[in-house]
Amino acid sequence: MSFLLLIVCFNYSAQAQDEEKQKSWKIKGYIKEMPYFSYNKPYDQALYNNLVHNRLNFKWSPSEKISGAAEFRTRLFWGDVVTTTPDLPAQMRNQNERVNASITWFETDNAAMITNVERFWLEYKTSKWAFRAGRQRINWGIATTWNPNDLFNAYNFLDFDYEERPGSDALKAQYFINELSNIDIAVSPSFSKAATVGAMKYFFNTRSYDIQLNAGWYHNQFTVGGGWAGSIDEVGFKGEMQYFFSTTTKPQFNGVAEWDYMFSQGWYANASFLYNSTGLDEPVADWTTVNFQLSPRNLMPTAYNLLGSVRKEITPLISASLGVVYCPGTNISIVLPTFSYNVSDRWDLSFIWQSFYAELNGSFQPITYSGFLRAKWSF
Amino acid sequence: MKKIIYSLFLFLFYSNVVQSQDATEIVRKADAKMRGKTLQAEMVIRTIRPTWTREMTVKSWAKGTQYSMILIKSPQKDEGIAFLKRKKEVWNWMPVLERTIKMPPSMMSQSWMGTDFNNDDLVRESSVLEDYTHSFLNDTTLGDRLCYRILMKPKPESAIVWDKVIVCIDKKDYLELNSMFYDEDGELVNIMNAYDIQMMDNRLIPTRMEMIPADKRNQKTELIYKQILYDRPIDDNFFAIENMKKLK
Repeated sequence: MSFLLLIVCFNYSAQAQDEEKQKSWKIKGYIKEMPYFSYNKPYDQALYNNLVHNRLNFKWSPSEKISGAAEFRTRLFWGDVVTTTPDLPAQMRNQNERVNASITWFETDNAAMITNVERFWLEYKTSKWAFRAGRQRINWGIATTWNPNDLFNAYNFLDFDYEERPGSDALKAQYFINELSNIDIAVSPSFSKAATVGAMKYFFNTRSYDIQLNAGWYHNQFTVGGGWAGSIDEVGFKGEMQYFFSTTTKPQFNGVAEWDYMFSQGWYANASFLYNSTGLDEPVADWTTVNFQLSPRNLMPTAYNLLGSVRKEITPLISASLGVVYCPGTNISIVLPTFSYNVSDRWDLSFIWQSFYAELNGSFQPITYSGFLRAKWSF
Repeated sequence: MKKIIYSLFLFLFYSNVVQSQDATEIVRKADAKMRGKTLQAEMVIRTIRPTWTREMTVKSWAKGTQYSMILIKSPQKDEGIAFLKRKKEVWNWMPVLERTIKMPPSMMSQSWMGTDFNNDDLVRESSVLEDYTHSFLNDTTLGDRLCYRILMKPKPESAIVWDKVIVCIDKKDYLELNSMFYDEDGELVNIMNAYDIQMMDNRLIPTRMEMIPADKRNQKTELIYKQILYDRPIDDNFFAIENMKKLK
């Protein structure tokens, strides 16, 4: 309760700042309430959970050149997920964060509350240069769903409730060559050399295409990659490729190609293909052997991945979407319908469904169903 | 007698001038009046439906038809979302994702942020001068203003979605007060009206526009100029991908 009160107070002071028109700092965020359930193979019982999820984003800009951010994500879980997940707080941590900046407020048999520092950075920026240090998101992806070029902080496209996506503890320098061209250099150091990531990226625009090229080290492996975003006639055309040279394991290639189109009457369609050269390409016997542990090298555990999605804006306030992922070879399939309703400027309601299917021991079967109902209040 | 001949000469010469002012020239004047060499504006965009209304405030910067930038100021959850247009390319900055997204060209002709305006209406990718041919229809009166009615047909090589647009331009001040947009089947799709003619930044302009879908007359989107600045120099390098993140 005091926590809620704190947010409300912050909100009022942010508004007061707005009115004064002297904004050296700002606060924004939201609270989400989300009951959800999952029903998993072998279907003996459904698991019921509830998540209260708060985000507090502080932005500080004392001058034109200096800015900083501190963002906090607090989640209060209760239900079967706490009971059935061993060491939930550790499971909830982002893999690419070097420093443990999370607090477990409490953990009981069926409830746990965790706050994580999601962003914590300071930036110095001129018209030609920018330097940012701290926990930040380094967005090197150019495609929509799968981003092989996202070397520092890969994200899981199924984790729809994590809209800001994870960050990493890093130093980043940017040089702006011109309006449509820049160079980024970033390092995410680690106490263990094997977990260090360091790379540079050159971004430019030519013939109506955005092009990016990168090279660097990812966990002791040399890696090179590139991406593009442009169009073929009226159809958007984007893609990314990343190659990991390796001396200890097999070299790896990840590639994505994606097309999107906006039709009339509020219809939007997107088709994407992801290839992972070290991924699974034949059916598995045991679902638990499929590694969904996300990393830049493992955006999907399967070699061939096709995604088709359509979205329809039914009215400007109501929209529905359907995404279908199919992985030839393993026959893993995911069906993802969503429905969302903008109740007011501050309130949003959504319903999200996820069904997983796969071929196990020669038979195509459902693995898990999950349903989520979410109310979001933004401030 | 000399005077009469002189007057007659003047009259003929003057009327010649009026006649030689062709439809394209009138559209050019109306466009130049509204757009200026550069334009910075703060506006309210109100989407109105029978059962609900949503409002957003937006800031925009434009230089000719080639460069423009739009920043959303409210509602708060969308604050900071920005769009950059350079020639035919459009990028979208999403502050929540901290990401720049290149938009497919097909998005230009579709609804912008759930309003009855499309992307093209806001970032003005197409040029009313270069992408259309113009010819006079009969004159008309809107309110107390006598107007030219001009038929605009897209040139075959342009990517305009309309079959034709009929505009009404006020004869005295060259204000575009009404536009009717027709699809390739000849059906009326959108009606745009302009009202509230006022002096803003020493220029007489309509300050409230409404876009009404022809098949849904009980809904519309209003665009109201709150502040406008014409012809202040804006450097080309203002329209940069990086600059979308810094707009205030």
